[in-house]
Amino acid sequence: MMGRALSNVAMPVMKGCSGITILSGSEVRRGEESACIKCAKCVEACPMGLEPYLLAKISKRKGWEAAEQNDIVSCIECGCCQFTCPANIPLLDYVRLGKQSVMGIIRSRNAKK
Amino acid sequence: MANRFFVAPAPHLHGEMSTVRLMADVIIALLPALVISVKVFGWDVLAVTAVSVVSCVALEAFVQHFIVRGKSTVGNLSAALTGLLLAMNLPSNIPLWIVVVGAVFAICVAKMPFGGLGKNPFNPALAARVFLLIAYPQQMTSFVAPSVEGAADAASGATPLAALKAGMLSACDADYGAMFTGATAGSLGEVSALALLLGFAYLLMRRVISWHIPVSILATMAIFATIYAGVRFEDSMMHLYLPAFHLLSGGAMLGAIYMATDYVTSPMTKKGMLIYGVGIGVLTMCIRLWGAYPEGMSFAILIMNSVTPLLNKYVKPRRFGSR
Repeated sequence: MMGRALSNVAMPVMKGCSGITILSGSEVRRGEESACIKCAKCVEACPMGLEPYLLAKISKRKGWEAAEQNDIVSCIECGCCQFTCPANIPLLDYVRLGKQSVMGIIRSRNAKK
Repeated sequence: MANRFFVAPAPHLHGEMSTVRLMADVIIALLPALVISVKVFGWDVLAVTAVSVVSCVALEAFVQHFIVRGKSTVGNLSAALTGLLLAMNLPSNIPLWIVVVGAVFAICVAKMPFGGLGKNPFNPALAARVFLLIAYPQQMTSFVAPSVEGAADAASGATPLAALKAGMLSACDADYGAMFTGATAGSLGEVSALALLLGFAYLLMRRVISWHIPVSILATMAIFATIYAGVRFEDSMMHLYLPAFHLLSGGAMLGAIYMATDYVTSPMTKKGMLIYGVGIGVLTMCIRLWGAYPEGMSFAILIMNSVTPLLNKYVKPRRFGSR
């Protein structure tokens, strides 16, 4: 679920690497994204008590301030939201994007002080 | 390598949940109620259901193709489910052209103008039901008497709730067995509490919905009815019968299990769901006891639908590690 994808054979293996998983094509294929039906399964799945549907929507629109207010930096990137999403929305992709942007903003804000 | 392998960020797996499957599950959960309905009211039921489903699906396909000009969304079964839920809210002897008017309202007014599935603020099937109730009150409230033996109290074709409102029936004398199994007059889907509870069990088992909304609605209604009976009536039998009557009559079960739990128009958080459920329960009982209509479920759900965005904004889940 949280493993890093190997994009080429030159990827280094570090001490913390416990194994390499190879998944078949049908297992990894991403379904076609459809409209959010607000089923709240992502909210239920999130172990951190966040609202992935909201964070993904905000990140898509680059609303970094709202993302920070909704605790996007608390996301542990476990991917449970995306796993459970019936509409096949790549929630974690969007949340990760938003989290990185927000963390960058926070860092530059702290650097100014 | 990049050509032969699909490389994407984690998570690399996806669950088996899909929009189509969820919609199909709700449709499956409604089948027992449909079967009971056919048994009680005869084949008219299937005609109403078929017209409703077909016109909803056709209208959605039409709007999507000619007005939205997007990819067809009929395949996600949401239009079929809307059609089925709309049929569940209509009397079996309703003229079929009114069913089509209801489908037009559900799809072309309540659903598609807002952006289709996932963006409609109000439950389309319920919005259509309320529209029909106001536009065609006579056709919407004349029910046929059930054709099952042993349904002595329903010969007039009045629903138990309407009879109670008109003072023709006391909650102590109602035939609870008939109300539980479906041998009363009423809309297609609302007559049998047993069939609806079966569907509820299936939905819970498949984890399509959680218990929060239905249980909070029904519990609120029961508590409200108990307090009302306690204040209003001396007779202690009434204190027991009135809550049971309100839970089993009218659209209480259908509304609480199938209409209020509509994903799109219900809150996202568990806490929000409980507030939403309590709101629906209180509003339903207020309309039933003091309002002009015998049935208040559909109005209550629509009113709480409009509160949902507010609940989503202010009722947040507890962040891990916070108080």
